[in-house]
Amino acid sequence: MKPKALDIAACVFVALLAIVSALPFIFSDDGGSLYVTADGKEYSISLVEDGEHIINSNGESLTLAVHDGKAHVSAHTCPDGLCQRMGSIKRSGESIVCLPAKVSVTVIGSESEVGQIDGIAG
Amino acid sequence: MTGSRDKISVKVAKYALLTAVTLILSYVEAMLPSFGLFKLGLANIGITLSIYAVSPVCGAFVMLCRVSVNSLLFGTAASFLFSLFGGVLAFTVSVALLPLYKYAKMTLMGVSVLSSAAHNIGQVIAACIILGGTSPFGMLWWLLLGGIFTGLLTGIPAQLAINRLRLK
Repeated sequence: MKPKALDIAACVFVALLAIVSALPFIFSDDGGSLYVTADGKEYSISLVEDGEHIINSNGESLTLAVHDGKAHVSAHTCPDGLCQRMGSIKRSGESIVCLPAKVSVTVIGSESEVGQIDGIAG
Repeated sequence: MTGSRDKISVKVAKYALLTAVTLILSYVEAMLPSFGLFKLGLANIGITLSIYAVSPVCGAFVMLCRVSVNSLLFGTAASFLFSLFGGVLAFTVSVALLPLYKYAKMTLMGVSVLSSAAHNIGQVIAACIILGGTSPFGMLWWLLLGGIFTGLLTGIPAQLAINRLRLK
């Protein structure tokens, strides 16, 4: 079983597609805060201050740990745990999403970009 | 010579066999440890074989069976839409590549890599619809890169199997 030229072309094509979809993040700077949507509500969390934030949404709960300008999910109640396996995010545009809880966390430049958004207690 | 009744029985048996193989592969996959965000997509071996060794109609049947049974057995409410989007897109790409395979321009390895990419794109789109934003696109590059490896890992056994199968 030998791969044909088009098999290799297929791999190269997908790799190029991956590179193109990674471009917005490779050249982006480290972000200053997190933009969170949960249960239809939106708020921001600072990436500058270390701490843990509990997000309750759609009957699930996840703990977002912020440390050294990076954020990751440290605990969750849903069985998938995909959000935790997404690792940590720090560059503008990077995000962690959780489907069962309907939560999305995206890194943005600074808190001022979000405008007036209610803060959240940790 | 076989009568039309026998033909139908043979068809039913083939569809059932491939559906069973696909569901068993999903079950095996559910038992394996996961590697970060990546899933091997073992069930895609069964779906690819249904399309390529039998017919696109058989592939569509097996794919829809897999998506619905999987959501019932292992899924959450959101996961039906999620698998359906991925499944339908991957199926469409696989069927579109059928002529390339027939004229021996591409093997199931290439087919599998491309359909796994389509699957990932479909799932990201489904995630965007469920969450109502474009943030899931942030993980697409990562999924696509992993999809090359998982695509090859499922494409190789699919090609090995189809070389030995006589299902037509």
